[in-house]
Amino acid sequence: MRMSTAALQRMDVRPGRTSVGAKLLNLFVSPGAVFEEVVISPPRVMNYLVPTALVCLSSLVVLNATTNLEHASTAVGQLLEGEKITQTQAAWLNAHWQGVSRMAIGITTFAGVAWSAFVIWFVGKIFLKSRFAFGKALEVAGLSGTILVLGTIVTGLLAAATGDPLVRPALSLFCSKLSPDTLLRTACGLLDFFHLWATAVLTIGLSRLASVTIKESAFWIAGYWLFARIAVVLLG
Amino acid sequence: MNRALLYLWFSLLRRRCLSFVRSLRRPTTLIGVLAVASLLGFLFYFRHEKFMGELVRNQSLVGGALIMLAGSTFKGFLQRGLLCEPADIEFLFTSPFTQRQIVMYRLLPSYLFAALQSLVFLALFSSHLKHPLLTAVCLMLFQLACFHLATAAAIFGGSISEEAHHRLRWMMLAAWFLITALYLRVAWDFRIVPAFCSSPLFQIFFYPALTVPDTVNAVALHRLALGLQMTHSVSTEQLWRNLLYLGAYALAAMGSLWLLLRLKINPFEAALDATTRVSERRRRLQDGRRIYVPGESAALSVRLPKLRLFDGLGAILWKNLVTMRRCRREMLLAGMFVFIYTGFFTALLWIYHDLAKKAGAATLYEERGFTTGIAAVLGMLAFFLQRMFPFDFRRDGPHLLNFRTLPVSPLALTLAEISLPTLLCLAAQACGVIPLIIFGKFDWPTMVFMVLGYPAVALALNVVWNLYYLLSALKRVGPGSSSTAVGTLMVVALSFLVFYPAGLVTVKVANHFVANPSLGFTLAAGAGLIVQYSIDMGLVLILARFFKSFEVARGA
Repeated sequence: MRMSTAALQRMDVRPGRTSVGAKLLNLFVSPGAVFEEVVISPPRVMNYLVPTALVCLSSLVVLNATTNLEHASTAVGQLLEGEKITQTQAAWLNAHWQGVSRMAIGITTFAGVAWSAFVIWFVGKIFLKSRFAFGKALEVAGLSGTILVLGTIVTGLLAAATGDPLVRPALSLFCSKLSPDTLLRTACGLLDFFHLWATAVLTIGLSRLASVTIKESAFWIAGYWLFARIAVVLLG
Repeated sequence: MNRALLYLWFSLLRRRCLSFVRSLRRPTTLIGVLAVASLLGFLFYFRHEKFMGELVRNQSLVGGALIMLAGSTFKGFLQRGLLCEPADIEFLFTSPFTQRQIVMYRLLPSYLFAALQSLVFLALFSSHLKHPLLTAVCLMLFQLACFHLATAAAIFGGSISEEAHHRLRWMMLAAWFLITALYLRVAWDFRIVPAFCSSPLFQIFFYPALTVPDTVNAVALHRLALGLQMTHSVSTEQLWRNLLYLGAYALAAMGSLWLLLRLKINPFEAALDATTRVSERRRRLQDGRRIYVPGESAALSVRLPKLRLFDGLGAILWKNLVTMRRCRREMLLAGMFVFIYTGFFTALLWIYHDLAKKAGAATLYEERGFTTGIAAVLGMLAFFLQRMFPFDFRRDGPHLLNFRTLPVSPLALTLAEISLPTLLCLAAQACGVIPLIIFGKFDWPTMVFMVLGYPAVALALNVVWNLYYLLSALKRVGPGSSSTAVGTLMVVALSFLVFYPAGLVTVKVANHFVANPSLGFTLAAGAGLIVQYSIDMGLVLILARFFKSFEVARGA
């Protein structure tokens, strides 16, 4: 069989096929290489299933540490005072708060991955006029969840260390004495270190998927995952 | 700036001014210019009013600045290259002028426009500003900056690839959307983002940039879970019945799809036929022509009328009546519309009458007020019916040349043409007036006003629409022009404006007799009717004049 020199050169530069575990670890140090491999490899379901399952698991583990049940019962009490729920319903909510949260973790993480993949795919197809399969966007969004796993563990440890379930690895850490409902604390909470990291990783992912520059990719990813998120919270 | 280019610009400006003055001979241009002048005059007259001050509030000014900035950059970017006259490209680009000189030359008209607009701004808003002159100068400079940005964006847009242009366009749009949302929230406290979006639950749309425990601890989510909570047990029988229903309908859907896919008939030929038919129908509607109905084309001929009314010019009326008879479909639609419109108000009147009878008689003043309101609404019917009864010049466009050869005056022919739609409008209004007379309470002056007022309204509206038709026919003769939605909008606006003088006179006269309302109403209504009929006659004369000098007839 004869092969051209160019084809041989391409084979040389192609990164080796790594396992899912290696990808998850490599993502922290070299997300570009991981996504390059994702782009050229055939679709793999495990690439988004495993990190999403890890997000679920880590969230379930730290749920107790990061949930302020007093805050929850206060919120239920307010609903009861506003006659939006009955006494029975309030009792049910207080009793099943953690159960509902656990169930929601499973649903929200998988729904979140699907939605993020859709956003990436949509931005690529419509705004960047690039062609890539939705499955690839799903893999990028799923793998980026690895940052979230680390973020959740750090948040849990932080909460356990400080004894404050509402503490987050964000700018709000420096204004933890403020009430959680104040605008300043909400705004500071939006600038979470791990959120910014995840946004940066997604930026690299989109740039590799759509074959565009990091700057162009950053405009859309930061525009949605950073500015639109802040705008939604502050303007809503 | 090169002096030669300055001279060229000045000469072109002078020529454009002259051609603009000459273009005022065209009625449509004149109407447009008068409309703008009237608006400016109106604003100048009321320049000291409070609402004018509202326009130069800080929030409004910032909004205006944002619109100008966004509009100019976006427009320039979409333009993709400096927009020049063909002569400029042919002569200037090959001349020994530098790039800067040509760019400056293209900017000169914009500079003049900015200066004039600032002067208008100063004249209109000076009384509401602390430093009017400074503001006007700043506005002019800001506009200049916008023009510069637009030009820069146009030059930049032209220098990049199609793909990059597409991407940058979306980027600009997204950025401006965010800025607009921010402006609306900060300046006007208008929340473009719904309140539920600020809930932690909404953060799920930003995965993986979220904290999962925050999202799942949202109160809204737990309230949602309340709704899913099983509050009552479901019997097995019920469950099976529900499943049976679901299964049956799913089976029906899948079975019908299976049958559809197994059809061996070629669908493309029939689809081509249907598509052509619908496209033709759409095209005819867009052109303002009748929809072609296959069965209707073979219209039978009609016997000649024996009535003397249809002799001479009456033949035009007879022809229009025959046309109307052949348009059964349109007439049926119009009939249904009239039935629903008048039926609704008759029902309203009957309900009022019934309620008044049950709850004890209402005061005479109240009853008259209600009846007069219904009568006014019935008067509006003529506005809606205009496009449904086009049995006048609008249907006779191709025959106008022949009509001009008839041995009758243009005025008489015009009256003959517009008589049928006017009568049809009046007949439609009569359907509503009869129950109004039965159930309503009128005094004699109101009744007389109504009986004389409806024809005046219907006549004026018909003449306005015919004028528009003849004007657009004149336009169509010229190169590259056609009847547009703007033209239709202008006619609708004009339809209302022709009643303005009569309304004004009515109000002015009524204000002189505040002490004696009955006499005041009678005199005011009389004066208003006289003015309206005078306007109607004037409009008819103009229509006759247009018919006489119809350009199609000359050119053909």
